[in-house]
Amino acid sequence: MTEVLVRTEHVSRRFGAVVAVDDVTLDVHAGEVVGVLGPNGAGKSTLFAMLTGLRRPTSGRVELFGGDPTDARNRRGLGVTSQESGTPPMLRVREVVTFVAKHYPDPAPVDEILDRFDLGALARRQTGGLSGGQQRRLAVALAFVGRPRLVILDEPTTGLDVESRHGVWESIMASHEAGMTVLMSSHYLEEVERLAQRVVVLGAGRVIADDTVAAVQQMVDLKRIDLDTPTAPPLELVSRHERNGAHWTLWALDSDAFVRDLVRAETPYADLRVRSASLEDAFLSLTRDDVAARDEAARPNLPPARAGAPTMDEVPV
Amino acid sequence: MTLLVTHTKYSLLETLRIPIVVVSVVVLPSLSFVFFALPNISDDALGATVSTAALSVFAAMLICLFQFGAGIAEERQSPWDPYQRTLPVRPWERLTGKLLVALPFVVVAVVPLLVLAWSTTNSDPGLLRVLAGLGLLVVGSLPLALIGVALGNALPSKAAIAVANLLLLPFAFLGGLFIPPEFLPDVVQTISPYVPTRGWLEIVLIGVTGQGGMNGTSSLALVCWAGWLVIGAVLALAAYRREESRYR
Repeated sequence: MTEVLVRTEHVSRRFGAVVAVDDVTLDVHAGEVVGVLGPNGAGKSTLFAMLTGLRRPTSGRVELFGGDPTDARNRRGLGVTSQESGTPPMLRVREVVTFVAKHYPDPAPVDEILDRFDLGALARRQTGGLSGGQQRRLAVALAFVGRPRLVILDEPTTGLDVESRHGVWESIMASHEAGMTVLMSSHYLEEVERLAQRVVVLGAGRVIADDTVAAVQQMVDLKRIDLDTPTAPPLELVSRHERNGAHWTLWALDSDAFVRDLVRAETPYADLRVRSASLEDAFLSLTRDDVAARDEAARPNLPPARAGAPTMDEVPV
Repeated sequence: MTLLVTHTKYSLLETLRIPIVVVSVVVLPSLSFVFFALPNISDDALGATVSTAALSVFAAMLICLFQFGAGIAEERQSPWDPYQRTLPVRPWERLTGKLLVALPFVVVAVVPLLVLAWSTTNSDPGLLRVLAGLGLLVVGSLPLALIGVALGNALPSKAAIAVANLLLLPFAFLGGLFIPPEFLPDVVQTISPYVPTRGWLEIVLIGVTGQGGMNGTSSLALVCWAGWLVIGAVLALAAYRREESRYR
């Protein structure tokens, strides 16, 4: 088993009455690229804040490189991009990169970092004068300055144009190939598909799924169906629905089967439209708060039974 | 230790990039010297020395209240602050870096004052006494520096600036920084020893003149200064703890 760089054991974090992170248990091993997906308010940033030493958990244990992340010494192998970018507006790009480099024992050469993140031409600009996208690129670059073993990136490409986004992806992939471990959150399934082998889906502070990209993709592969009908359509295959007068919006994994049911039930309908649901929609149906829905969603998550391997039932007690 | 130097250096760089801050720190005390002190003391060597010391204290107080108070409050509101908390640096190294920035600033503010006093008055305490005064200026700044840190950690930047402005005039006037304590109205003379700037001035004068002010040293002011030191430390610690607990 490879070394565990990040470990959380039954970690919860409350803010007053709000439970931002709820009983999360998670390991990140050396060499992994793990994507954390989830809608806004799912607890991604709070989880990352606990992993990077910004906050302590209300209960449970958090370990970074086997130690307490709030101890500065345990953060020597960590590089971070926070969700919000912000650098001292009066400092130049090169100065900010140099400043961060001074915190690490064996940093990358400043010019190498500037080149890699396409900041070379901006090196002498004060960061207050950068565009939002340039600021974001700088914020991502800062995570890599210290040649860390692990980078934690909170929505690294939010606010970047397509070209810069691809640049950041390449840099993350290159770092991964060089042995770096990456834990990143994202709103974009596409991004996680490209970069990560493993996906953790958070919803309402809990881990709803922790699996390979392919398995999670299947889970969130929802279709959105719109139609007008005066009578209720069959809802057996529907994971969620909304009704506005005669207009129904439904979400289902198997839209073909739903349409067959609809026709078989002889429901009168008009204006039927089927399209892929957004990731946001998919999360919403995954994060339905009732336990039944969660169990349903978790089903494809079960590992396939291996031939010859004893199942739980067969293990002698 | 290297990190301390790094944090001091970059805080300094950041502040120097806003020229108006530098200009105001340099100009305000010297201007006050020309307006308030010069017309009254050009022939009076001791008076000139006391006035120069008083305006040096004024300059250092500006730095304590604005650089620390407003500066810390401003940085707290920026995402740069939580980001730095994820770097491998301890909180006290960052804070100390911010405080050490004041030293070069004090020099930048006080040197023009000294040149002005030396060239326009009969004041001539000698180099050793001036250096002693500078050292005591830094030591005596502690209560105000701590109050600045407390302000910066307790209040949002706009409120911190407002409170700093509110403290500025009473502390300067009551402490005898504009008019030497001996020439203050009777009522003000009674209150004067109780403000922290008066004790600060007395401490600096012990170094600069070797005999304190025109009427020697007010020991009541020194006792009150020590009291303010304790109050400042308690306030700064409470505000700092509260700020840290926002992250816990």
